[in-house]
Amino acid sequence: MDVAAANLLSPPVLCFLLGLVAGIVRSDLEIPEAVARALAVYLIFSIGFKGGVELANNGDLGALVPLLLVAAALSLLLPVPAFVLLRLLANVNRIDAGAIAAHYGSVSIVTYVAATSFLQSRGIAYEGFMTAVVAVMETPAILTGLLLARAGQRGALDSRRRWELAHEIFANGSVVLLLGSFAIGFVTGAEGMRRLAPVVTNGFTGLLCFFLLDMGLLVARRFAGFRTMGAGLVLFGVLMPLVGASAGLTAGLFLGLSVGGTALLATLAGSASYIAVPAAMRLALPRANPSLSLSLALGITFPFNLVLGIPLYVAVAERFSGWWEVWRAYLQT
Amino acid sequence: MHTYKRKRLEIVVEKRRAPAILEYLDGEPAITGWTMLPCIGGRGHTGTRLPEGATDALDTVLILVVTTEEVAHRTMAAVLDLLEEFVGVVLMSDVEVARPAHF
Repeated sequence: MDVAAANLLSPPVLCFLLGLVAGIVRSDLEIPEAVARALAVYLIFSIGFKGGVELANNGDLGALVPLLLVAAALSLLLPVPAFVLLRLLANVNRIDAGAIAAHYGSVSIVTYVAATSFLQSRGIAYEGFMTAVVAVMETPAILTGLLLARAGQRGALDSRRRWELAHEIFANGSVVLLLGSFAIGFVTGAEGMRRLAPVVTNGFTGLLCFFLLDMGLLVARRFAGFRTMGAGLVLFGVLMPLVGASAGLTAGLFLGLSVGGTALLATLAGSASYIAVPAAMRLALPRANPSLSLSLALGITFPFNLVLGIPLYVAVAERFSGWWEVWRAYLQT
Repeated sequence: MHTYKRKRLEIVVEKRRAPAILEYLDGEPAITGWTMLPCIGGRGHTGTRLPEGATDALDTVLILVVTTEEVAHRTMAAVLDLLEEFVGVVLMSDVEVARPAHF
């Protein structure tokens, strides 16, 4: 309860709620689109850079490889329960279900950033190389979503569309920036951090607040789409993050990650992409209804994770990591 | 002033599908030019599209082409083929130009 209250009363979450309220009462408050995109660049660069520095300073490269493999497997497999849930809970056709499932196997960088900010405010440590996990989890889900949507259908993508899709997936701006800043952080290490700390560390939470204010405004705009969605889809938007987060928590505990690292893996597995995947899906599944997936990922799952999910995943990781340690020690005796 | 009859094609397409259309237009020798404009928003059979902020995946563009009637019909058919299952609108209308050599 403490953790939930601390999250709810933190400046980033309050700024998000302010944006939400401003959007609901149709205030003319707005963050110019170019500013919002610049803030996104700043946030992605900062977490990438800090992750790279952390890996250079204290990283255990040996622990990184199994983590990345598990993360890729999570991204590849999570669209399957998402697809099944969509078909069971809501009257969604195969193409839309595949497209939405891809969003839920992939990750939301902003949710991850908010989770790291929350962990830092609580003084909970996490593995710096978790940032690499974000990049790895972005794309495998797109392939599974595509397979699920196109299963039983004739006609594969032509070579031009395949090339465009591959380009969209691998050269997508957020992935390039995240991996690039991670590499810069890793190469420049502590000295790089000494020089960039005033920008990437000191201003981080303040600028995150501005970004989340804009996200609140965007989410409020998505509320209009809920009327046409139906209760089954709304339920999916809340249920699927819990399914994904449970898988992430289990994987984090199994891999022996810290409490913070486990909570972050749960957050990533429980989040849904609304930047990289929508763009890829427009090329791969143009018949899918983009309003459905965006309304779910941005309008339901993102606020759910930001307000309730993140503190829940941290609390569960705290509770179970101790229990898991005891169980592991018991098995080794 | 004397003017000359031509056809005007207006192609509204998702931003990510635009390169395929432009590649065709650039490869068609009878088409002397095109203009592309960003669309701010709109509503069609796939719902309402307004600037999203978080993603530009739903952004659309308007491509304008002015050409002769014969080329316009050929281009319209080719563009419709390129649109395949993609969202898009292709319109043709009459227009008059002052400098026929340009179109």
